[in-house]
Amino acid sequence: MRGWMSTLRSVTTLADRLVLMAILLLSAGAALAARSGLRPAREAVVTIDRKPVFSLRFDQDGRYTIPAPLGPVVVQVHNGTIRVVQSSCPDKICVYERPVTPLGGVIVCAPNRLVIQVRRGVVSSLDCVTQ
Amino acid sequence: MPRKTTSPTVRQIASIAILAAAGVVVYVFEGLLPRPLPWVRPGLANVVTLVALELLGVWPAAIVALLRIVLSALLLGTFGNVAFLFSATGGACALAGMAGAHRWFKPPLSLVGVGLVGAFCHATGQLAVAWAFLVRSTAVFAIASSLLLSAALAGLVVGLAAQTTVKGLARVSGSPETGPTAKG
Repeated sequence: MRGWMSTLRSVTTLADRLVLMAILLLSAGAALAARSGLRPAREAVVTIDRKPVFSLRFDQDGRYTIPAPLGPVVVQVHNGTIRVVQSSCPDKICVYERPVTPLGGVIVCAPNRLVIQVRRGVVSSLDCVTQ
Repeated sequence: MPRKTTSPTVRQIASIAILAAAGVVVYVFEGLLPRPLPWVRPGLANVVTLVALELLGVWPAAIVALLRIVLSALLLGTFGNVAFLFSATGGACALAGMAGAHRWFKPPLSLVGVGLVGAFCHATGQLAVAWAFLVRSTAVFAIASSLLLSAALAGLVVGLAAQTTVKGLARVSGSPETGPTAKG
């Protein structure tokens, strides 16, 4: 590392190194801006068959019963997290799934075709970019 | 009395052609490197623009950049699409930045510093295109971060490569050397 640095020093001027530092600082600044741009969501949306049927606010604690194809699914909002506490599905996998938080996460109840995920204010207009 | 002419010499035309061809090769090679967005490039091909700027001047460098951008687009089949827009904007911004830095800030900058300025302008130009046509959200900052980091590396590589090339060419042709001019 030291050898590499001394080589760099021998082939560049002070002004060159200042320009390099400025670009690296801007890069770090952009990384920080991107991090702060990931704002926590305020609410989550429950969809059945990809149609939104219910909105849940992370700041309103409570239990909500959602009518699903196989029967009621009970969702609990508690301390800013959302989880399924009771479900009409046979395997109850959704009940044991990791809770959805304002920063992300998703709960899927496949038999009921029910999905709970955060709803973000700013959504990129792109799904993906291919070459 | 000999007539004064401003038309380029055969040597200049040949140099422009060789540099543009070398630029196309570097551009194609650069396409193999991993990038934050498919069309966004760190700008390694600017090394030929920088060499042209140092050895031939601003307008021959502009011709080299233009030839390099158009030829590589024709070669890769990207002429006229978004990739071409990224390439052209990046190349034009890099040329403008490097020409300005070379004209007014060399010294204290050496060719490495001029290359870094060019890489920064290249990245900024491409980010502007990405903002205008692709990602109009805070996600652009995530791209900006990795793009600026790769620009710093590419600028160093471009500057060092150009400096070495110019020194090597000066040794062969016997013209004065170029290198760091200010003590740092």
